[in-house]
Amino acid sequence: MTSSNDYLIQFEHVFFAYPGGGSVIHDFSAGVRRGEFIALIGPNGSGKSTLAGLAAGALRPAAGWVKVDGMDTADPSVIGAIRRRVGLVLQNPDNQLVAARVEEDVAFGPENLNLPSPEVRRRVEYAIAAVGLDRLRDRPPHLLSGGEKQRLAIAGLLALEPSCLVLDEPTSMLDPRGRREVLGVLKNLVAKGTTVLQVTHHMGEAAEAGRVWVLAEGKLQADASPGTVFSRPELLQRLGLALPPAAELAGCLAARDINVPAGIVNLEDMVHFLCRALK
Amino acid sequence: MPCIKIENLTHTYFPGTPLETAALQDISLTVDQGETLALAGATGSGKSTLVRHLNGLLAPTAGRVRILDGDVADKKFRRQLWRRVGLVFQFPERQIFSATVHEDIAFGPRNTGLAGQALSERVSQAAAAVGLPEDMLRTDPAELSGGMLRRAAIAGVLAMHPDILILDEPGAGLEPRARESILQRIKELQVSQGTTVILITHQLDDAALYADRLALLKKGRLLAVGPTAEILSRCDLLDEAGLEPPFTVELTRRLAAAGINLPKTPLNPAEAARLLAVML
Amino acid sequence: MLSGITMGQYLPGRSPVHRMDPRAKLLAAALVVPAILLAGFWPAITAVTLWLAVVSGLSGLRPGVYWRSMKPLWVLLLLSFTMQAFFTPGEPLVHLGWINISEPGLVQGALLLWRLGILLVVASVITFTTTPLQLTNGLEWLLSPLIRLRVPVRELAMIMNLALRFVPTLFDEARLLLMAQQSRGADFTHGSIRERVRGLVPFMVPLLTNIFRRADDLALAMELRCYQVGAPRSRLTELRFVAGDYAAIAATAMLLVFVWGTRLMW
Repeated sequence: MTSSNDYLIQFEHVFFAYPGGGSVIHDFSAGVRRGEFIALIGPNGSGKSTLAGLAAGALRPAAGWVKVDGMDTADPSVIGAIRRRVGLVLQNPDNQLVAARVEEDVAFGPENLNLPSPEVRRRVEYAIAAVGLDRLRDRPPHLLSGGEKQRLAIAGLLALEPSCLVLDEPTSMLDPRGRREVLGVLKNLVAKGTTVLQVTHHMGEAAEAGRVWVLAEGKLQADASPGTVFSRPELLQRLGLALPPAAELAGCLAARDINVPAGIVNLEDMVHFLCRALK
Repeated sequence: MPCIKIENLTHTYFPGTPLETAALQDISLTVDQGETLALAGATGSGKSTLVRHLNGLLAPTAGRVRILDGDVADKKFRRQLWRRVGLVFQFPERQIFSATVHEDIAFGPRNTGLAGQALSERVSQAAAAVGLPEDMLRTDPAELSGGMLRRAAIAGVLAMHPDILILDEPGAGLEPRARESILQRIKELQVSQGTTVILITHQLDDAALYADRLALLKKGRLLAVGPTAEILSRCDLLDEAGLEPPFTVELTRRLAAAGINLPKTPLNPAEAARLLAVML
Repeated sequence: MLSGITMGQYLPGRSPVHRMDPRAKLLAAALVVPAILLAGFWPAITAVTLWLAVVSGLSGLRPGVYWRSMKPLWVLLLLSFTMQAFFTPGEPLVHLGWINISEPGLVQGALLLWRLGILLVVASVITFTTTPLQLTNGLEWLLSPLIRLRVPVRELAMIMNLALRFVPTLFDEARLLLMAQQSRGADFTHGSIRERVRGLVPFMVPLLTNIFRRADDLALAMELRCYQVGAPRSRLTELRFVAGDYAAIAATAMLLVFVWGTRLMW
């Protein structure tokens, strides 16, 4: 076993069931390393959201354990410390915003930590800048676009200065522009050292991550780079998942007996390959 | 034959107050009987406001809207328009209120005066049309998955047998397979029943697959309208509308920038592979 | 439609009144209300009116704005005046059939009209120049002594704050639901009372369901952001009294003393 220090979040033989329902997570073991960008994909009802809740300590496993920075999420005495390390962003941005002004909303978390005003101010400035909402700081949330609202929700958690963000389908209610905005913010955060675990059903987004987890029926079906996962169309097809368009094109070309290198999952790689092949 | 004729439609919210906003400005557009028109534009471009004129929820501030055989300026005609023009709102499952799926689907047709056996048949037909299994009709909507719930909500509008069906982002927030399946069902309905379909979407890949014509809106104005393939191959228009071109269109543009010109702009990966295979 | 709601609306600005500490505004209001109620003679009435003229002048808002905010309440004001004028006993001045209008009646009516009008303008000054959040913070501070009596003041302030945040969202949601059900032929405006109440079901049920779902999400989101009921919280901007705030409170206190004085002297 790897030393627990490598992992920021670690799942070990985790089981979970909702009251009155069947098993949702079934013997799940995996780990999120510091600084990683993981995309979690899977069909509806596969347990993706549940896993996100477990990772952030919002849910406790029925059996097995989840550790954040070595702290067991089932231990009530460390839940505060876990909340400060892992932030969970929910699907609907509207329901996560608490204040009638952008700036006040970002301040909510640090205020709850009872930090002195100058420190609250510093964190608000940091978080607002990190998601690019500087110019909208005085707006009421209901006058923001979907993408702006979700960026604000992210800022609200960043103000707690977590090591890791877990996002439960943060872009599923957004238009393409909003989705691009949020993905841009996430990539930026990863570049600056924040660990990100993102649940998504948008394969183009998953292709941008460093690693992909495929979940079905509460079990981990694949854990590999996007290039590897998306070159296995049989698995994805069986689970009712689509391919990112670049991978789909690569598949169509391969079916026409054209030699396409493995691991092409995004536009950049495809353009690169075609330019070389056609010149 | 046009079934919707919009002439110089303008709509202003809160006229005469400090909150006055022009939501639609001078829009002229016709929709033909039995076609699928996709209506695309960024958030706030006026798509929703536009379609609310088509089923009687809003009246024009200026201009004329003729639908089927009537004018929406006629209050009596406008009041009854919901019977003939079905509008599926975004995230329609949020409007479900009944204890069983059957009851919820039956709400619309019952309001048109249908009852008994005829009503039950309508409900079953509509459920089948969207791919909702018959045995799910007796269940509590709370027990359905997101995809099935969406189908039930759409069936609630289909069951009124509208001549014109308008769907606002019917696939939003669904996993790829459910999304594809729902859009496919609607396409089949259009083909088999001759229903006119207006599809609001900001997902141009969907428009590429299912729409005959595509209209682009920007800040309440009509930017362009034409055959889907023609509009989609104009990256400049898509950029101006604030929309993301489909993958293959973006690929074509990037290749052209590198000096590689495809004979035409492919609209899906299979077509792109066919064109590229010839060149490789 | 919603455009009618202008009373209680915050109107952004940088005037001295806008920049006052919300607590000072609430304290000054608490002092001026008894002064308004006690004022019954010319010197006191003049002093209070002058005070308000200065305050509303300093707010940087045109008199027309205050005038318009009172408009919806005209009927109420007129009614109060008439009731006083007609039903105050005294030497009749005018006979209109069985109705007697006495001089004391007219005086009482005018005084009531003046008091209500002044109170309304005071309320408008506060709501026009103070954001809802500032108002909540101010109220929380004013009520904070009640924490000793186990009144959950912090929590009440948080609830008020959340209500302010979600009112526009819920309005949007309700409007959308109304339209969606109308599109399926729902009718909320015709038929007997029974039918109308039944007609509300397709609207109220999903509205409540959606509100509860939102509330669930919100509770989780707040918890995830380290909110704990009853725990002390710091603030992004500490409220701070400055010289102007003290001056405003002192001036208002003097006004109250003066009004009281005139009352004792007569």
